Amino acid sequence: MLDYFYRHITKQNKMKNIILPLFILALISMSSCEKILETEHNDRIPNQEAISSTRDIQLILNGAYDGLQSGCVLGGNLVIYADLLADDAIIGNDQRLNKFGKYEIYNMITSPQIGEIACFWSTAYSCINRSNYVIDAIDSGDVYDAEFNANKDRMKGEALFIRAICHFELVRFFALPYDVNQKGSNVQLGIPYRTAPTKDYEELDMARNTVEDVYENIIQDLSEAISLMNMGGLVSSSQWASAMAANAYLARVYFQIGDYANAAYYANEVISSQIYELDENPENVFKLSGNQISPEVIFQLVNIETDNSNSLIDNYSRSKNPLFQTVSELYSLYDENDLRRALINKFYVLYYIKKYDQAIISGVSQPLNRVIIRLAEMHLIRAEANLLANGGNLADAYESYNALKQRAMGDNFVPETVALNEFLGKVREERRKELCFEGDRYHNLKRLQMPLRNGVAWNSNDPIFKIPADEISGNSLMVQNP
Amino acid sequence: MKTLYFYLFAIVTMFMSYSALAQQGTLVGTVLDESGMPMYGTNVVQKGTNNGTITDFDGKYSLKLPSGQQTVEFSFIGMQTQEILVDIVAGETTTVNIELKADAVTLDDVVVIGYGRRQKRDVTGAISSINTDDIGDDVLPSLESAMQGRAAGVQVTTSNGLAGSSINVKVRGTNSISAGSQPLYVIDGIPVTDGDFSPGNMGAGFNALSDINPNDIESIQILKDAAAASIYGSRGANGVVLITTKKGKAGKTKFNVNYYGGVVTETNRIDLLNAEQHLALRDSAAVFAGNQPENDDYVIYQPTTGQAITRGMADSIAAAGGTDWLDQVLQQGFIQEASLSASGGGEKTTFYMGMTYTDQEGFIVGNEYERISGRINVDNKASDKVNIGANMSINYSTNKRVPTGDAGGLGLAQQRLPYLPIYNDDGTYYDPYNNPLWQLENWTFTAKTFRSISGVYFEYNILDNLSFRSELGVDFMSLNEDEFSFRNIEDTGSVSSAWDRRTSVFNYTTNNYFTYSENIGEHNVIDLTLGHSYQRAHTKGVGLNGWDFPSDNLTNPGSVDPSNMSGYGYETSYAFNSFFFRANYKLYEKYLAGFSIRTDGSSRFGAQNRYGWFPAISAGWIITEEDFMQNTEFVSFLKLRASYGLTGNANIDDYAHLGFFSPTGGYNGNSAIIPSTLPNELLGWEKSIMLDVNVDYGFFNNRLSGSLTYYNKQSSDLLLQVTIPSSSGYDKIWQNVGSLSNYGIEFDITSHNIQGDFKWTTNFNIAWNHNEVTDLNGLPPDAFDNGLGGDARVVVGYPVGIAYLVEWAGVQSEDGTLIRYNTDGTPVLDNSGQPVKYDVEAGTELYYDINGNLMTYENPTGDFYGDNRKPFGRPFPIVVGGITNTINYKGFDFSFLFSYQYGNTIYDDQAKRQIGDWSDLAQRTEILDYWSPYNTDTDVPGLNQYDNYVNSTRWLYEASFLRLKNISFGYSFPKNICSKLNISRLRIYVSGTNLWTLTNYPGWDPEVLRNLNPSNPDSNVSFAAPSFATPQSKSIIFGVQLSF
Repeated sequence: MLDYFYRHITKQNKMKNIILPLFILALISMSSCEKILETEHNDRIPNQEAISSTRDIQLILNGAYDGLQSGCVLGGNLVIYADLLADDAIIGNDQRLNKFGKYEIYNMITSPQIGEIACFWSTAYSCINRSNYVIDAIDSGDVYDAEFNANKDRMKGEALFIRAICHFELVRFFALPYDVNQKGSNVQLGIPYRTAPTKDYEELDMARNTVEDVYENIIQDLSEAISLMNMGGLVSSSQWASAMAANAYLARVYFQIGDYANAAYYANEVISSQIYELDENPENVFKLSGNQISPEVIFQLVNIETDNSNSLIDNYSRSKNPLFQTVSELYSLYDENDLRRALINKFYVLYYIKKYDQAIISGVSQPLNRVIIRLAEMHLIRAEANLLANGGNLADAYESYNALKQRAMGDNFVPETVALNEFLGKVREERRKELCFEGDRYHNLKRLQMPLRNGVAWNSNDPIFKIPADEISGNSLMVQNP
Repeated sequence: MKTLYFYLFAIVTMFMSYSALAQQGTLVGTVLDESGMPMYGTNVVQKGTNNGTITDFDGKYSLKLPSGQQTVEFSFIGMQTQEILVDIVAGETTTVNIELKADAVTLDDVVVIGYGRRQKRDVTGAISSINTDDIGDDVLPSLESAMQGRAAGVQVTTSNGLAGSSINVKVRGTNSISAGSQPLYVIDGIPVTDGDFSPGNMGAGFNALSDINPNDIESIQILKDAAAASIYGSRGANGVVLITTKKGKAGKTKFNVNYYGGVVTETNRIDLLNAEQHLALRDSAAVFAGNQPENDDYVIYQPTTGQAITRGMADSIAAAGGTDWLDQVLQQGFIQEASLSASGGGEKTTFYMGMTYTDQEGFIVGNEYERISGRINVDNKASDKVNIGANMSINYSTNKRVPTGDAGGLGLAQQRLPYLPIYNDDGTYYDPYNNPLWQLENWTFTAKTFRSISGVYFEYNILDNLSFRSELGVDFMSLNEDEFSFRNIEDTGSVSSAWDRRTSVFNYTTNNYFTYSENIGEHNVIDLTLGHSYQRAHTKGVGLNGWDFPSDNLTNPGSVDPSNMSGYGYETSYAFNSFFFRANYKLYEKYLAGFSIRTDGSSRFGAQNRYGWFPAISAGWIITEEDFMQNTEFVSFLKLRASYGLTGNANIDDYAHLGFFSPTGGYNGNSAIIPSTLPNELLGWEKSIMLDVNVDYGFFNNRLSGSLTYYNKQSSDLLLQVTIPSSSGYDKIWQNVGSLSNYGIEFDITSHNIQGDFKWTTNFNIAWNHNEVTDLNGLPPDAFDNGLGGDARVVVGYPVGIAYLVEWAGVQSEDGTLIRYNTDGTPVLDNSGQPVKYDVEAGTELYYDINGNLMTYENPTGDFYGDNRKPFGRPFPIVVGGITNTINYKGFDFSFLFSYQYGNTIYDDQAKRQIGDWSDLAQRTEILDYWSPYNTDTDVPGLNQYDNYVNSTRWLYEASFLRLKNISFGYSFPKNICSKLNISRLRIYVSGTNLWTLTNYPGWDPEVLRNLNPSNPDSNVSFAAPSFATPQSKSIIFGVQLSF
């Protein structure tokens, strides 16, 4: 066809026969220029351009903290769920037991469609993905600007910390508990332990690691985090993770799985560093806002006016017609001079919880920080772990117990000598009095293999959250909880 | 010797020609058209010879003819050729004046196809054509009103009757699930911006096409099949709407002045209980519950701010008549439009100029729309070889929008209880936050749009039959929204808030193509087009919000304390780069063949799938040109054509294929970026393969003409969000994995029933389409739950947007018991093996479970929604179409257009609250049929047995309708009066739109859409489930048309 065309044209006018080929040439060269279809992006960063400097890595790490801060993760929901499933709190306002949410969790009939549970799963794994991006960026050696060496250990340590604690919280809710009497052979299904960032949508299926594997990974990550953050100079912090926070968390993890020797060791690391001390007034710990610190707090998530995420206030604070109240049995555990009793708000015959009341300054409610781990817990761990471990240090145990009692009784403190056979019971009671409504009771009952609320067995399948529908349908290797 | 013969020859011819000359006469005269205007450029030819001339500007001609009886032919494109027999006397001048009439036969029209024009009879693709002639003298308030009911297979729905509201146009069914399903709009060769760019939320969408002035439109062609649309490649799958604006015609400048004014109201108002009825209902409910009726002190309404209303206060308000909220919010609006156009020109330059001013006061209090538009189209023959031209248009519109639907306004008025007062005793509004009148007064939203769609072209005729055309067009839109909501003076904590939002879209295109036409031998005609097209668009939006003003006199968001400000900004762009080629072949004027192919590349597609190829082939056979058809008298035209090809849909998000990080607020004041989406470099356009078979017919000298078409469109590679494990940190990725199919039949017929002095023409069109989703890559129906209610889903084997509901089974008429069932259909058995039963009170709502067994909401089989929903209803009509009738007699003209839809269902999302939730919402009168011991056989449950907000088929209504879309009656003054006034035409008329509707749909209006941006994928799924809908508008106008 083109031939005919050509001949026809040359027949007519010799001059014009250069136009067509010239034009076609112009078009072909224009189209092969890739720039012709390029578009600008000034409100988003394409993946391949996202990480080119240390600052970029820091920004992603900040994103991981942002995820942690979310109500679904450490912003408070996990404390609420723990209280729904254990016996410290009762339901004060059942309007707040929303269907397709807390109602099913409370009644232990969760389904894969529950929005809050799916939020927990996906937000926690988003934090894990962001941490993995940070770790991968640091390990890959692609970034080598001036600030890299000074910051790489710290950032990698923080990322490992976040990755570990997210998996820890997930495995405690989505899998059967670690049986401390079966150390080393907890083969029940845990959760997938993700250690690589997701860059591609293919081959994302991952099977559930066993609970044993998950804890092994958590411990490994936290141990590495401790040494990296120490090297990086981030020993303690009022808003970020830190080496001390990693030590504290590691103590908590070892304690949960019944490795009491290590639990005592790491709790002692925190206590003997002398960085922290018990706050004279326990109420102070729960009123921190913004960049305020308390000497007792080891790791907190900061909430400020423009970035505030604390889901506990509405569910505990009396002025909000809250979900929870508590019972007189718990209230009467406290001695009448115990400063901590003020954290339970006795209102006629009702008992409200005051731990999460916001501070009010000039009529304005202040944002409330989320205290994740504090020194009191370290003392409790050190005390109980030393009692339970072979060759535990009893002196440390008594020291911790008395430290807690001294802070709790304030001026009314009278040193006690407790008989050894009663001591364990007393420490456990202290734990309940100190850590009530902080999300510990549920996991503690499971560790002690005691029944949960309403006589539900510690290893029952009922309170275990169902894996969300999105995960089941997207991950062919995923197995649902019974 | 040779020289001698030569001279002899010369002398003889000279002699002959001399005698011929001596035997010539002259024929002179004037050629006018039907309205008496002179026709410039008419051919006047001595039949059978080359002896001819053309008329001048005044229509005058002068032609020398040999003496004797001569046949002279007068011809002009679009007019009926006239032949006269005239006696020419040597040396004398004879005068013959001619009046040319427009050609009634439309089959010889020229239609616009992509990048070119073609004779309609030679076209092998499916193109529906709407000309201003077809529309006649109908008044067109908007672009969509030009298309409704006039093209088979094209369904046009406006979301409501407010000016500028979004429209949904479907060409041969919905073609997509998650990508845009609207056609490509092209004006004078330039693809224009359409969709909803309004970032504000007033409960209703906004339509970028509303800026187009319908008075400027010459014709609309809708490309429906692959052969016609694949020249637009990856954007042709949803059809292409080609709009051509008016061009000038050489001759004396013709002026047109039009004015109309009239009133507009809503098409329908739902019946709500008045205050007395509603309070009586409350009493009945109390009595049936076994309680005392409410005493005077009982608080029946607690406002957000202000004083509570007790039963006693409500009773006195009811005694005084109560409040008719709908009446307060709806009004009779006034609309008017004035337009002026001029067209004319000379041999070399022609122009068309038009200006229109529109002012519409809507039927909702506070709504007003004003638009001024101007256009100038100029064409110039710069030389023998070069044509140049420009089309420029400017529009400026101001739309005072009011909240509707879920945002308030009319949506709120239809919920508000009738026994609440409008005002407090001191004259201030009662309960401002929930008071629609307070809202309409204190929440203002003005959208100002500046739009310019302009282009220039340059055409070079390289050879007689080879030309090159280059076009450059720009579509620029600047939208500025000022929103202000005044504080509630009753609530000391409330503050005023102002938004200033600016969005601009800059969209430019250049087309460059060669056209070549060749006659090979006597019988072969070949037309080739080869070209390149490039388009780029850039959208930018920014907004500033300020609240808590120091003084009520300040309303600019910039005048607040910086800590009371927030804002947003975004930018997006796309580009298309394409090459296209088309060949059309015609043999013996009866065999036609066509081939077209386009390669399209776009920035929207993934890097590994950037360019695609879109070919199409077609063939046609004009049967009436065959010898064997020459003797059939009654068949005047018969053409068979078929086409098959591939088109694409590129209405996907600009960055759908991109993997990127986004910024977030961060942590403790430290900003952050987070991984946001994964890349999919294989992401591409959605594909449609379409087969089209068509017969065009004309009988009795084309007195009866029309077409019958069958098409089958298989769409695949549809975009769906495929779930990936959320433990990866992401949860979905867009992939091309879905498929659906559309097939159907279109039929239209035009009949010139009566011709002559009394003319009557009818056009009827009807289309049937079957839409079915065929593959969803395993996604369950609930994966398409966009949270918008209405329970529309996408289910394999059903049309897109099918309602997925529990089936309603009526009301228990007497106290009884029911058996509880399992999801497998077996009864639940108790310990002794007996079926478990439960009591059901009379008046309780009943439903069918998945197996057809009865159940109640309190005692469902399995999970009420999870286990018992099924697909129901029809989101799309079985048939759609229109009937137009035009009658002319002497100076009178009368025309009316009916449009109809049959067989579709609408899910009236809020009926479930307006028929049942009597303690919180205004109720429709249907509730008066509630179950009671005196009224046991009813479909309305007992007042105290109402299950709150259950989604069931009870709210799925038949929504077929027949609507008188347009009716007009006019009178054109006779010619003698016109010529006395030196004008060519004066017509006065009265016209009405949407004046009458026949429907069983009990809601506001069966023509309704959910308030969604049509470019939003949710609008493909949830469109047939409106929420607190706003009806269409009905209008009557009087107008004057003057031409001179």
